[in-house]
Amino acid sequence: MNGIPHFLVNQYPVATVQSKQEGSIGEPMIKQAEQAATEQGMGGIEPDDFEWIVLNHQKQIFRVFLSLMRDAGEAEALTQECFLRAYRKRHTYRGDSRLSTWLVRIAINLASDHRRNRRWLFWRRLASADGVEALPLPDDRLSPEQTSIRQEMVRKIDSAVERLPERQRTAFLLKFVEEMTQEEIAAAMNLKLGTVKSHLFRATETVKRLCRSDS
Amino acid sequence: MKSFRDHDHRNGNAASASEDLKPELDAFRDAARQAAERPVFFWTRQRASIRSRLSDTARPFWRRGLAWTAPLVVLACSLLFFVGESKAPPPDFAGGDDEVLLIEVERALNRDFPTALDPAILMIDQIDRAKRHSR
Repeated sequence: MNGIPHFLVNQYPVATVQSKQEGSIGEPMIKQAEQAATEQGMGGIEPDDFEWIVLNHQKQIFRVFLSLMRDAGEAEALTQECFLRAYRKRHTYRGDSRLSTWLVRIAINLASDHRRNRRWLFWRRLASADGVEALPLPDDRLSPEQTSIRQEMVRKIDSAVERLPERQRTAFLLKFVEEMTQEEIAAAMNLKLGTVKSHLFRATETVKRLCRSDS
Repeated sequence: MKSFRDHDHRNGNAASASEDLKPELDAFRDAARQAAERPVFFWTRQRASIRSRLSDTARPFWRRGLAWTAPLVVLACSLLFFVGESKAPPPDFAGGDDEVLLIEVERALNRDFPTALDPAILMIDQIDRAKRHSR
């Protein structure tokens, strides 16, 4: 079917889609695929069709893993694993939440499983000896002084976030990096809304305290 | 009622705490997003890799099994062959009898198949016989 989701065939002529890519052609296809998946679930989706979902979410999922794991190699491998798991469990998605929330939930579980892995911990400790992936801040629009101030800000937040307990850190990153709503975070972390609010409150307070004490 | 009030108070505090840190949090968000930026070929390669692994997953189980079965059968046959060869009684040339040696060589040359394949030949014979009977 040339990689076109079967639920879109009636809406888009086959010839209009040459390959899966972002841009004027890909974007309406992605939107339609998202809508169809949310309305009908993903039970019947084929591997070829699933690529639209990957195309639309791979950047966010990679970013979530990078924030959680602080290792680009791990983030890349886990992003692949996340989409494979999503495909294997596609029958469980029935459009109850946003597709991105469902995928982030899989990502959080994978990251959590992975962290428990002793071998991974060993490598992480080894990596921390050289310093984990630092957040870069090159921005041509800023003066050297402004860049330096910004770098200092990020360094403070970064080191404070590193010291948060796992759940607080996850909630904090989803809120302030992914800009997810508290309801979405609750769905992604499989927690009650009140618990998420509590984690966010504690995380923000801790980060604030650590940043202030650092300065 | 108290717990609700506490809850609201806590949420208010959380919001004010994040307001206090707004410039830092914005910088942190931008930095985290920038750190995750990758060139187009990275995403393309990743999709290709996922596609290839999905195709493997989508292949029926028996076909995935078949990929392993063929090399295993070859390995089993090779093992059988070597084991069979090693089990064949070594001809006694200790006496230095050239005639015995020549007879063994002639026998080996006259055989159509190696000794290790004797069970297979027997099986083929039985299948042939069974076919003839059924006709």
